Amino acid sequence: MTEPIDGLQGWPPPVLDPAGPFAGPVNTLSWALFGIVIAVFVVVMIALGIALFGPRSWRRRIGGEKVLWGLGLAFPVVVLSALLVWGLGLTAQLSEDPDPSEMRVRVTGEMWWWRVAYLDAQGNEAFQDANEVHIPVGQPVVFELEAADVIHSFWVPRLGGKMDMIPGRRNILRLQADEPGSYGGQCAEYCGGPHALMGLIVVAHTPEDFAAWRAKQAAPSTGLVAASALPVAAGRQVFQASGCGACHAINGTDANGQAGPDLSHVGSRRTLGAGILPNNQGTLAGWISDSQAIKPGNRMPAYPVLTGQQLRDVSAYLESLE
Amino acid sequence: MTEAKSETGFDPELYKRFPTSGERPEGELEKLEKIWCGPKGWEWITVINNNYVGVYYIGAAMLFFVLAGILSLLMRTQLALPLNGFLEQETYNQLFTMHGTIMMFLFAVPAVEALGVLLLPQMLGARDLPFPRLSAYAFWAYLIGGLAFFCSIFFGLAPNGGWFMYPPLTSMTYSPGINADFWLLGIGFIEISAIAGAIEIIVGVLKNRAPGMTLDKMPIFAWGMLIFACMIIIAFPSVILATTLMELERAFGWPFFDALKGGDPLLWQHLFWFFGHPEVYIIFLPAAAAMSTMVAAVARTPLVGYRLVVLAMIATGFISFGVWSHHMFTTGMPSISIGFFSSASMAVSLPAGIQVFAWIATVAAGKMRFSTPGLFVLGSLTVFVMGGLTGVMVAMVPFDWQAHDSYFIVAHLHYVLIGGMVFPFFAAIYFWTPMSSSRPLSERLGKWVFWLMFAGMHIAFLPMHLTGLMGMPRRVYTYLPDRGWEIPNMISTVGAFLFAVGVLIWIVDMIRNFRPFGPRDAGNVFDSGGLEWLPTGLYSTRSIPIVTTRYPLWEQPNLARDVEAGRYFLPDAPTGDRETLVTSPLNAEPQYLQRIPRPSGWHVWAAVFTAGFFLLLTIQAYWASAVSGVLAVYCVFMWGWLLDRPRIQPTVDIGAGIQVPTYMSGPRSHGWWAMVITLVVAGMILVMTAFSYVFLWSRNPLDWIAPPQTGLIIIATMYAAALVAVRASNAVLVADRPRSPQLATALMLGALALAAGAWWIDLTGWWATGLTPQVSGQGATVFYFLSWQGFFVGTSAIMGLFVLLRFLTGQVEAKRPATFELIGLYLAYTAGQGLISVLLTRLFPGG
Amino acid sequence: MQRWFYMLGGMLVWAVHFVGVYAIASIGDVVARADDPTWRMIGLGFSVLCVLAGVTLFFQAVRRGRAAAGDEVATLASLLATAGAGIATIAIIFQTLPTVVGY
Repeated sequence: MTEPIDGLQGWPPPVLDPAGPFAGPVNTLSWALFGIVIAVFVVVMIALGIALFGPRSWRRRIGGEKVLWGLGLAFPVVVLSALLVWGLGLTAQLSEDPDPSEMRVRVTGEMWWWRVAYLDAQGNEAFQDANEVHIPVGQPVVFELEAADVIHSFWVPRLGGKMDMIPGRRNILRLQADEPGSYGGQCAEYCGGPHALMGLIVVAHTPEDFAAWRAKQAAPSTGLVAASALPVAAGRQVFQASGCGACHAINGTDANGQAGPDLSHVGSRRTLGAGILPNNQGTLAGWISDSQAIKPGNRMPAYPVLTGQQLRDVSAYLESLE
Repeated sequence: MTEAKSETGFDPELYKRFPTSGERPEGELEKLEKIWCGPKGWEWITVINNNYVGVYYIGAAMLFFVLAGILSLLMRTQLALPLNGFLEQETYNQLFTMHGTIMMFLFAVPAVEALGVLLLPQMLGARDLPFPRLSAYAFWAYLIGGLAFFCSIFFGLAPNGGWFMYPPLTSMTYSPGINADFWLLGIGFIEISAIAGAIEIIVGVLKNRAPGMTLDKMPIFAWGMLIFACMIIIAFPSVILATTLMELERAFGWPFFDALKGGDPLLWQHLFWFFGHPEVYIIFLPAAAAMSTMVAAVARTPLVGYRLVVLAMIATGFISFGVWSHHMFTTGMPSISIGFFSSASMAVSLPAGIQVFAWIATVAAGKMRFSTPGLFVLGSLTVFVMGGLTGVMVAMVPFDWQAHDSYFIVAHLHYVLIGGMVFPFFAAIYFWTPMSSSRPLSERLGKWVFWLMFAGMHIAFLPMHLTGLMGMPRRVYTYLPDRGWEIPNMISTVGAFLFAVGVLIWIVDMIRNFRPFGPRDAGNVFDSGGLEWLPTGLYSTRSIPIVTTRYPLWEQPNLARDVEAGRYFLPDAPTGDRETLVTSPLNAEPQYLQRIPRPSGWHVWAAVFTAGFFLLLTIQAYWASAVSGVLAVYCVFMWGWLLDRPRIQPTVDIGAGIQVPTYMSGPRSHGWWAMVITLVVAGMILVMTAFSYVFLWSRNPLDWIAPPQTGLIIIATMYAAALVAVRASNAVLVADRPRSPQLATALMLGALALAAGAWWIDLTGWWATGLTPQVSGQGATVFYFLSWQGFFVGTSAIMGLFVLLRFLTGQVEAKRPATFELIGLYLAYTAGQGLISVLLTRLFPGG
Repeated sequence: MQRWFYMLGGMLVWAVHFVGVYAIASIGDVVARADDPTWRMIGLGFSVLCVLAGVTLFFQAVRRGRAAAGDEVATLASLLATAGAGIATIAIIFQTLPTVVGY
């Protein structure tokens, strides 16, 4: 598994590599904070250095109570006040209420994957996906964050700060990408088990590309139509016979399970297993065969009963669902 | 110029009689030695002298430090490489939970408490702590419970929900095993330990100082411990409540945190962090106070800005209670609310800055020596400042929205905890070992210990700031390759092992040089000015000095010689037993002579059975747990049975002809203070319960049903009547009429009956409405109020039994009202708590 | 007891302010919105009162401190009271900012 996986990249540090207006000002703040903090540390170290090694007259000056009042109180008050006003203002700006015209996506944190539902203008679910969220560039997108089981946290650092997904609550997070591309993230609230392997990707498209993508996603996969090719048809049989439809839904078939990720367009996803495997026939077959070995504790059982041929067939079928 | 006003009416002219002249009588010193003799054989377990218990306590705390440190090495080995198979997922999840839990609960708080136990009496000129069996009990419960808790790892039963154990992950649904119960009940006795220690320290610092040691002259360490103890009293009740509620939810389905049934996961977070944030300042303040002491000593100059440092510690103590939701900035709370917490978090760094500059000013005013304590002090200052500065960064909400729950926070918390507590603690070990050991620790090895720990610490944790900004969340057992996280993780792992080598060398140093409990100690190796460096025996100092400055050994000439010759207070043991002086809180004017008990086994057995109660409950051995609980109560009963006995002399000569009473009751007595502090703890639990009730209502106001329509008036009247009866009982007793004891006892038992009856009517009233504890947030909180009140009624009944037995054995008399008063306080509190509970649950929201 | 209240007065005002301003926003959150202008103004008004209290305690303590010269415990008490009221007032001002900044 040495292929780099599309998604969260560590370098440049995503927090300091903003890609939208909900991350940019935070990046500016971060650099300012670093600057101030380093400057203060240097001042303190210089004072300590003088206290330890400096000439007597300098040490006498630092050894008085005036230093406490000045350096210890007056100077911090000024700096902290300025920072606080900046911070409070930016907080208010980043948590402005959404405009009713903004696109809405509902992401529900599950153990250990992300259920993504695209909402229509009335706020109803139009169609579902999993572990990837597609958005148009250049406009704020409203993420409605919920949790199905335990507390999770939605974090795509290049696009903005994180927001927790708490059972019984719906939290709102607004994010915006300025350029098309993939923006990786990871669950940031310990949710037990393989919390470490709960990644996600936000894919930003130009508005035209997004409209096309959305139309394609809302409909059943075109791959379903071309079911004449043999492995795909055989794979569809394996899927039905193994009862996969009890947990997974495929739009356009009678598989309608809600327990696991929607597989209607799984072939077009960039990763599998919530951002931990590249998506190709081989990795998909391996996942179905024994996902427990890859992501211990996840809710999908292993399928040792499937033969190699069956695995190849069913993975070919699923990969065809683009 | 105003003359200092006397606080108690004590005439300060009397101090002029000291130091007394002439030889002390023959055999006086031998008598002291015999009364305070050290343990032999089994007595090593029942010993209560702080010189022993303090060393045991620190030893246990350092044992847990090393154990939790080993866990961290295992974790860092796993994280050195991506997708490493060194530890399984479940094992790692248990180890990181245990690392945090053990470090925070079994190492950090007990270690600083232990430092107080070991140092405070000697520093204050007292012979021992005011309730030595209580601190010994706290120690044994903590040791037994802590070791059992640690052993859960070997059975795969260690908790795995993170050290702050958020529900719903830790609810029965998602954590069905007893792992979470180990945590909940496992820290139960640590909570008890901490509170017992806090009571001890508050009373000891305020009531057992050497005469003349006014607040202004009190050692800065004593100030730090006082504030620490007060913070424990206010903060710990919140976690006691939280753990109790979660256990009730797990065991019986009372939905405090279950959103599906009317609870809220955020309630846990509020309750936990209201404790959890002050907890880190609880850990930091004593270490900072020790820093203030050691900086002055090592630089050989008085602390610059002593009064400002005192104020800084007080301000830190207060303001740290207003920042808890900075751990919850990402939970979706309204921006204005989190704004308040951000503001307070910025404000709390101001007093910390004052302390840091006081240390720097002190270094400047003196001549710093680069001895091992000096190095650790300087290292600590550096590391703590770095940690504090990243703290200011994460106090800014937008930055925290990126940094929260990432490795940036892991970096920040280790910098402040290692810089703010671990390094000062190692400095303290090197600094104060000569006081307790016949050999000081090695300066040569000590320098290796310091540099390895200092370098290792930075190498391990500095990269983590970057790792967090690179997107790595915390509490992950592995990570994917090709993200760039490999290099900083590997560096961190190397640093961790380097740090561990430093600790290993320290262990070697301890084995080679630490020789406690011997006849002599190594002496004032660092030439410090505090009273703890007077020559001492097991009886502490030969006589209790009059203190006139902050640094008595530096500024009061011939003090050591005069103290040793018995020329001050209490050079002997006038009642023939262990004693110390009780003095007034502000001016330390002598008030009375306190008798300190001799060792006996009851407190040890009480500790064993207390730990047993919690542990057996965890493994669901319910009958055995109940038996253990009953036995614990019995042992406490027997422990207290010998208290408040007749005295032979009503007053004694404590030196130079000054007479003080040997018995005290009422608001001046140490017993009264201990009971009041305990009731403050109970009151805080009540306040947090009320918060929980209102909070859950605000989340689900439509689920609330109407309260019982009748009963409020009669319940309130009965509780009020109970209060009156308690008052009357005490008044009757001290009136000293012929039948006073009978009447007073009857009134006390009558008050108990009224409170019990009121509670019963309240309980049955709610039961009749059909409300059950499982059905809603209202049910859970209302029945929790009732259960908590029931617990108080029950314990009041046990105390009533105690009173009755004392009456039947003729111990109830007007001259000795102390026990009656204390039980009266408890009973009055019970009635008051019942009254508040019934008013809240029936009048808000009403309907 | 009175001495302790004097020494800690500023800090107690701080505590009252913190609890109060958080409670006001929380009640506002139940009844309307936490940042509803009316409730913010209530918070602001309450804060102004607390700032005035802090400033009053500060000057009171300064005056008592001058009179206490010579009595060291009284001097300590006055310094704690003064500096405590000072830091408390600064903290209260910090804690007032969320009612107005960003709106």
